[in-house]
Amino acid sequence: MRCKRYKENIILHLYGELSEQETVDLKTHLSTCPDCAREFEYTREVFATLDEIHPHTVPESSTAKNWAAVRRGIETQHSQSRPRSIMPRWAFAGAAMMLVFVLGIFLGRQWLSHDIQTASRQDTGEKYLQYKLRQHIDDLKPIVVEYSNITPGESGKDTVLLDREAARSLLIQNLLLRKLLAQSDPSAAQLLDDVDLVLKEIANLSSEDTDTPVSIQRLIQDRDILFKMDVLQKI
Amino acid sequence: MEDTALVTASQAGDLEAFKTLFEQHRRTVLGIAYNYVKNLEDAEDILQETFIKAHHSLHQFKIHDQARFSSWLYRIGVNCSIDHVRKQKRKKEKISAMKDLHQGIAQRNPSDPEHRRHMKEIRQKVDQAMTKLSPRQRMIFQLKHDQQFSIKEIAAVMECSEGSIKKQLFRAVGVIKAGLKNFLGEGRYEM
Repeated sequence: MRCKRYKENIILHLYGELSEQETVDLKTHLSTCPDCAREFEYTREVFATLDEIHPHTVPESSTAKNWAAVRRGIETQHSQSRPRSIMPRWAFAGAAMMLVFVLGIFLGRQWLSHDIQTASRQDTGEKYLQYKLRQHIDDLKPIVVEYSNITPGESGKDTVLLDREAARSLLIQNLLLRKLLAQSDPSAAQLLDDVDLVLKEIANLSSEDTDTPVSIQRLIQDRDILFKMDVLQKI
Repeated sequence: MEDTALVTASQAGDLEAFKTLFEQHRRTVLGIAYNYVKNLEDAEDILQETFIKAHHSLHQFKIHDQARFSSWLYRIGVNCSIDHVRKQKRKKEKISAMKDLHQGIAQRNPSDPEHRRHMKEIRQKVDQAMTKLSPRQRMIFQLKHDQQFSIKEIAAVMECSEGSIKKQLFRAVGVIKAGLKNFLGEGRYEM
């Protein structure tokens, strides 16, 4: 145990860290302990070797060059730290978040308004078609009612000519509406299909033909065309 | 002019006073760095980094404390040196860090190839032994052996007790001695 302490003191002695009294004690011990004496010699040789391979001298370096670099570093730190004190980092983060928020609102409104405009255009289109359908039914009704209530042999030559012209003009309008309403209003489209048959029969009617007006009447009644027209007009 | 007055002036923004502090402590900081990294270029980088950091943190140094400015400054230098070597290790440039020193040694003994070969072997053994030490132990050894700081000064720089410094110094010297036992004194020393 004592030798361990002396071996540590050998190191401190070689580094000049022992007091005078401690140095005397160590030297006394080394003179009586061959093991510690060998340890002393070896440690001294190790230190001398270290001094040889790791010289204490530091190569020369330029004071001016190093100070210039330090000064640049200090000035850079100053220029970087000044704006930070005026505008802290959280301010930049807050501003960025605000920008995203405002941009989000702007884009959202643009998107929504586009949707609203599209929807209103769609609504307007549908309403317009329904309006045109009601007008078309108004135009059809007199002729359909006429053939619905017809008495065989009653229609005269002049009436047939007028009905034929009227049916031919209504056929084109009926065909257009039928195409436009095919997707949005299938029941109206079905009615216009039935009306198409009636109008075609009337458009091809001859003054001598007495059977066709009866078949038209039956067609109107069988397919409940007048009833359907009333329903669609009230919607 | 004493450190205390120069530090007070530097804290007030006097760059000339800080330059004087730089001139007074430059060699010691460079010595700490050079003996740790064994490369002048890297040591100069550490020297510059140390003084830039010191200037940046100067307001934290309390002049009325018992702590000396030199111990505070050298502590920054020690930490910069240890950090630098850690970064170098990450970059796997550890081998080249020893190049300057090895070249310097080789130039000192150009006429004795046998001696040079022997010293080269010893250097390798010392370097191997150094890798067994923690960065802190290695720094303590070099502050003592190369910079010849006192135990008390090292304790102030490393912010620990003198007893702890001695313990770590004994450990460092013991590892180096063990690493060299077959290379010195023709193996006559029994450990």
